[in-house]
Amino acid sequence: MTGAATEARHILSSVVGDDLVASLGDDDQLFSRGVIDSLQLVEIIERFQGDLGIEVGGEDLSPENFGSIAGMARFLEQKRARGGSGPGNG
Amino acid sequence: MTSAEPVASGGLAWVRQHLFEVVPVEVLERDVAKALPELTPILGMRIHRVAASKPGPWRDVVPQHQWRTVERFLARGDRGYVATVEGQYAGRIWLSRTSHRDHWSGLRIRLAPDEAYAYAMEAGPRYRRLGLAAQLVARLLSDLRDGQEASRVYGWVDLRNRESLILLSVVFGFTPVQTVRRAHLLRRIGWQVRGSDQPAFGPLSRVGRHAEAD
Repeated sequence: MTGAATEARHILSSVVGDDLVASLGDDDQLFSRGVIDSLQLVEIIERFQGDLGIEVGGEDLSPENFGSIAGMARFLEQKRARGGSGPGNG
Repeated sequence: MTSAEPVASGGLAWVRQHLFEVVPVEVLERDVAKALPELTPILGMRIHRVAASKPGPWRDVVPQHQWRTVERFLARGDRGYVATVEGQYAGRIWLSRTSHRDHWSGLRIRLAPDEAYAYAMEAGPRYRRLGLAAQLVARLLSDLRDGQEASRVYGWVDLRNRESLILLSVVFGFTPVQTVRRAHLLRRIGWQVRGSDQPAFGPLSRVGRHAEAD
């Protein structure tokens, strides 16, 4: 598991709880599986911004970026690669 | 697509929100052929299709205070999806295939022949955490896809309504196409602020795919 995936899991755990997240695969679709609802999605995205310092713009809101743990991890890595702030660089 | 707005606090905020306010609006679009997410069913939920071509006892499922509005929507040829849970009204969404000026928001939506417009989404407060809005959007989109009626569907959200924006973007893959500013007075009269459409090409502009299609 990548560091970004661990961070994504940590954010998700803080919203829905450790037990539920532990049962999920990285590619599981979070909304379809009923893991999160749209209000929790709002909270997750706010934590990306508040806890990780990742700026999430309207163009970033997509199923590819926030639909699964793997998607969130890729999004985190891409943002940081593009120079977005986060642990270690901002 | 939604009318839900956050509640501001303080006297000035109240005046601004209830007397006169200008709010940013984002128009979103979606390719109808795009795959739909699989959703967990809601126990006891039914979605009733309401259309002028399918006269039925829609008054049995729509609250009385919405009847006049529904009649206006039906007269325009629009159709609605009304959700009930255990027989009680729980929410709705409407779909239009016709260019028109929306009575409440004041926004003028212009559609090409292969386009549709989803609007007036509402999930009752008791049902919001159940994923009811998602169920309504999914049903509307699957009907559009199965009926091969349109290739593209639009909706708009108040940009302060982060939940609806995220639901449509992250769960259903809607993408931003245009922003405009909408003014409203006394929360009853609304209009699109002239020249606020960015870019000035899209369903809320004079020029867009509708103009090409004509």
